[in-house]
Amino acid sequence: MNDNPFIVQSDLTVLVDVAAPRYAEARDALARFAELVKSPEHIHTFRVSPLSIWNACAAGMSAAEITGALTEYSRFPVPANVTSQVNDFAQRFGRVRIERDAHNGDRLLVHTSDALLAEELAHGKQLAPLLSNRIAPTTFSIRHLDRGRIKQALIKAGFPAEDVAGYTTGESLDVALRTQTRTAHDFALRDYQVQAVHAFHALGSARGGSGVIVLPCGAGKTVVGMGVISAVRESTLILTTSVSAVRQWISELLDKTDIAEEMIGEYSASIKDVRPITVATYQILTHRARKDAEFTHLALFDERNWGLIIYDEVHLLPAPVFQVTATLQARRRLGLTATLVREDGREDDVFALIGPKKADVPWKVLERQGWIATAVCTEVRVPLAEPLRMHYAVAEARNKFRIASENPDKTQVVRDIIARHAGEPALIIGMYVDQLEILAEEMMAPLITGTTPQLRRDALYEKFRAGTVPALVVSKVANFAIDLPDASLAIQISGTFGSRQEEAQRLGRILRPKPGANQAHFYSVVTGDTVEQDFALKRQLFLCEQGYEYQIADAHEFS
Amino acid sequence: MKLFDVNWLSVLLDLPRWWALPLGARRALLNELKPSGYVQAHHFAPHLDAIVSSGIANYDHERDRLWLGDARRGLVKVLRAMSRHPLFDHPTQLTLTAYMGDHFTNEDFLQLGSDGSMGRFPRPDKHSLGKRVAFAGWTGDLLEAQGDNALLKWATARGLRTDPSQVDVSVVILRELQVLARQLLAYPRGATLREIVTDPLNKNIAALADAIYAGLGTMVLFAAMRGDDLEPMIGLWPTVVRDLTTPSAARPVKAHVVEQFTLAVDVEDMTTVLSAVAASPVRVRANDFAVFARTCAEIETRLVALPPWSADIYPGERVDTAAGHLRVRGFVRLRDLDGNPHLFPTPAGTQWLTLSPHDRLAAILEPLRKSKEVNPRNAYDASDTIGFFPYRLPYFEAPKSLRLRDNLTHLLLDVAQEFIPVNEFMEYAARSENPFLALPPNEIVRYSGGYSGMDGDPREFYRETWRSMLFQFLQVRLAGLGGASIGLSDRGDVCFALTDIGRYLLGTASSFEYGSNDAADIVVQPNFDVVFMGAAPSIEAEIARFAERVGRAPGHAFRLTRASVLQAAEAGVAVADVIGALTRASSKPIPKNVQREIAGWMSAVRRATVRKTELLEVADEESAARIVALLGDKVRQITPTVFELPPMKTSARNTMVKKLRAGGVFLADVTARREPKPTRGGQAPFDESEWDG
Repeated sequence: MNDNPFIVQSDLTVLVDVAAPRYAEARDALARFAELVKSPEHIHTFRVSPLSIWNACAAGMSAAEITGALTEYSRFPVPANVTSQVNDFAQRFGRVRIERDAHNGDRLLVHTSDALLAEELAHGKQLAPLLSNRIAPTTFSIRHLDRGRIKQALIKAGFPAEDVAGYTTGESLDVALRTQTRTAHDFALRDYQVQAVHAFHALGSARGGSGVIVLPCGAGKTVVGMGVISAVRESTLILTTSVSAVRQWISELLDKTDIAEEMIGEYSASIKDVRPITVATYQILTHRARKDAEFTHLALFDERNWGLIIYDEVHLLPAPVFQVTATLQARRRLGLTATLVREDGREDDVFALIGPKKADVPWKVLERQGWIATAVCTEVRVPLAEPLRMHYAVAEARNKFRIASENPDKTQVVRDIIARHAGEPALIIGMYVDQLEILAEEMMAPLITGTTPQLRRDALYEKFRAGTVPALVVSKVANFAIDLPDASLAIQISGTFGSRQEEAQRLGRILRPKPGANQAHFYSVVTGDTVEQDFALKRQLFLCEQGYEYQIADAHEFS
Repeated sequence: MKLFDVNWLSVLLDLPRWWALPLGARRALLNELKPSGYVQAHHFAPHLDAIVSSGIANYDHERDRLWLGDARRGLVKVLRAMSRHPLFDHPTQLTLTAYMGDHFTNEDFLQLGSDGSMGRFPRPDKHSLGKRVAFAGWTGDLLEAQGDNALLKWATARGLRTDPSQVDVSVVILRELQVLARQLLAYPRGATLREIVTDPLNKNIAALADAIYAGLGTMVLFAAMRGDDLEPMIGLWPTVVRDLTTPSAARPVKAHVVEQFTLAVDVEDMTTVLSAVAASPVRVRANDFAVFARTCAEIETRLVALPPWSADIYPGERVDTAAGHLRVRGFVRLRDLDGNPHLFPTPAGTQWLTLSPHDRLAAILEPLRKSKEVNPRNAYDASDTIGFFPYRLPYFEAPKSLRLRDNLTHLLLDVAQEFIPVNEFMEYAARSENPFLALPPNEIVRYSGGYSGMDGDPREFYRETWRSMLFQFLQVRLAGLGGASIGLSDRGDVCFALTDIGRYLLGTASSFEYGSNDAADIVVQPNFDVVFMGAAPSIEAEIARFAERVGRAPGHAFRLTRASVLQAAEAGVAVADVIGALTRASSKPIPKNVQREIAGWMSAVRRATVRKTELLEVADEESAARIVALLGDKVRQITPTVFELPPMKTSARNTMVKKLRAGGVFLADVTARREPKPTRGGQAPFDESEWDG
């Protein structure tokens, strides 16, 4: 046994000992061909999959380099099945290429050097109708429109295509990043952001121009998107998850690029403005009058000659957008996400239709470099007061969570936490407006909910930033309100059961870099020995697996 | 002997005629030429000329036909008999018995098997004798015979008459046969008669012919035709040649192991199964007391994963095996629950479970170590006490001079202090260090009987007996109890080496360590994963008691879950046990959130008792008041109209009923307590004594 960091398991997972001497170099090697699954304190787990191998191959890695890295950093002999599977996955990549037809601009060529494989593809159930025009034993002629569908079908058949057919040129757009933002702050892309932009753009060659950039929350995915826009310099369609996000994109574009305001359009339920840079929501694109009606807004993809399409939070890309994306393979496509893992398991469609992973920076690296704050998560358990215990005991199951969440004794704990972190701006986040109203009143802190007018919000945010309001009580709007001011202390008094996504969003509120110790605190106040604690355990696991330090304390420890 | 009862000198002298024939002519002769009568010449075309010129068949020119003359009748008879049994092409027990059936009578079998080694069942048939003939000893006895007397004794034992008045065989012939048999040891698949006849060693053809005849008659030699070229062959039985030419087993030498594994697997499995039983009685099948598949699969996930290469050492069905060990040791008992047999922990089992891993193992080892057993009990011994040997001698009692425990101890201490290949050890023990073979002949006989021993060479039987006994001891007493480390050598051989536990069991060490000295460490992660940074079976076994297995060590082997921790708590494991075990095994501090949650889960454990009771219910509160007035504190009022009756004898119950009647309160159901209904198709419920005696 040596002190190498990897333990390669036969189920294709790789455990990485972060305390091992060669951890950093080993992790960098591994991240090229495996996906990080979880990263708790001591041992991180990566998974090798066909997609992760194909991503690596697309980035120029060979099977020998992959197995070599596994062997090099492994503490024990690498299981034979892992080596053989990696070789098998890798040898499948690039056996099929999609190229331009030099003699016919209306057609593309699907080419394989292997006659037997060509035969197999020609007889595949999904592929046969798309590959009916065989012009040579190993070459098929296809329509441009089928490029995406063929790539999808090929990846399902286990032979991902290497697409070097290139892109059409979109409308030209004169845009550049500012060196000083409109709000008069110095601005430049960080090193990892520059590298991500270069990896995607590949100097404008056919090898680049489509793919996914993976960055953790708070690492500046929007900024990377803008960097790509300024590199491509063609009209751009940006698709994102909500109206708030649309406005945040627009705000950021105006703040950090030199593009004029009239060049940017919002395409949402309320505004349908198509400009050289248009920001739209997935919801509006997939809206239809009836269940069996057409998706009328998908026409947006053809409204202009887009040179670049950005898919924000690509792991949430809805199915109809996949369909239309399949027909847009001649456009440059950028996916931005914090994770490649999709709940619906359609990672292969992301690979086929958006493109392979182009950059992936672990959040721990960013934390160490000071780009995001170090967060300590603490769960504070508050007992349920005697009079409420019977009420809780006899309540129906669906009401128990609310009774526990609204435990009135949480108020004192919140006071104690704020007292412990005196002088730090605090966000108190909850789910139930009734509870928040009472808390806001008792704490004499302003409350912001979904019904709070934007003007009042802006005023409160300004006071919060200025420090005249030390604490803000916010409802679920905090999950998505991108304009929410920065804080170093977040206290969660109730949440949506065990929602991991909500937990990540709320934690993300305090991850921006902080002056001084760059330290943020995230408290979850839960009622002990209740169903709320059970749900909190799921969130605890999630945060631990993300690598955050997690503590558990009793309420009396704060009094 | 039937078909080979011919003049072999004449056959050998005529053989050149056969050798001169091409293959087609040989085939035509064997297929077409009849022992009597004529065959038209065209049946032999195109080899007629070759056949005629060989002189084997006579040719009638006038009528263009062939016939077999008396001069060559013996040769053709032998050749045809040989061609019927391609023994050396397919040397199986089936072809051997077919050959014996063709060439020998039942009387021959009786004569051949009359040497006394058949014990009390002296009626050999071709099947039992065939097995014996195929063992090395059958021919080995002839080869080992020193001097004329020994040769004559051998011949007598094979049923040959050697007295001068009625002689079948002379000592000269026996010497020739011995020489020929030694010569044939160089031919594992038989020699062609051409090779033998033309060998300068066999210049005296007449003596050779006699030797062949004697050898065939005693089944030392076998004659057959080679299928490819129809060449007459002669030889020893192939398995005999293999055994006689295999060099005696060498003392095994130290192996270089690339993987090794040490764990008292049986004790850890018993612990896991008993923990499951303590948490909740485990139902077993009524017919064979095996744990039901679903429960078995659940428990199996908590057992320590064994290296795949050790499958020969650790047999399968570990849950049932462990349950069997627990029953034999009185740690669990079978009792009825809802009409079905279930495993319940006994007080002794519960007590055993609370011991440390070392003490749990010591409790198992101690009775074995102190056992007075010097030899395994015989197969008919019905007692179920646990002895030193996990093996039963197949037949009859051990003679007084036999002390297998001493032999076994000496052998293991002599050769197994370092890793040695299991197979080499078994072979060495069976062939070179076999105490049965060292027994005086009169005592050997006591072991040679029985159904199994009857069929074979007793020496093979003794080798197999000693080999089996040692292997079972290695499996059950050493590997199963941590008495041997198991390893995989760089050549792929499974190896073993005695440990301190093994030496303690054999009585040459006064103490042992267990459960605390595994070198590899674990990491408990804040997300409750338990990762093994190396192989540490005893730690794995310890942690399996309160964690859920998700993989194998080294790697992510366990996850601590609320369910797994509560299950351990139910089996009597305390918070300190869990945290203590994790802390001892972990190289890094146990995350505080993990400690906190485990403590929280275990502090939530409450125990409650279920009991049956009888209730007395009245219609209204006024009636209840009358009950109180009549029975006072003999009943306990639970609700305004319901009372709990305390357990009482029938006489007391009758008195209570009378009292109520006298007060005007009549009970709707005052019959005697019902017996529980049988639930197994009308059968009586299972009774503990019924199962565990």
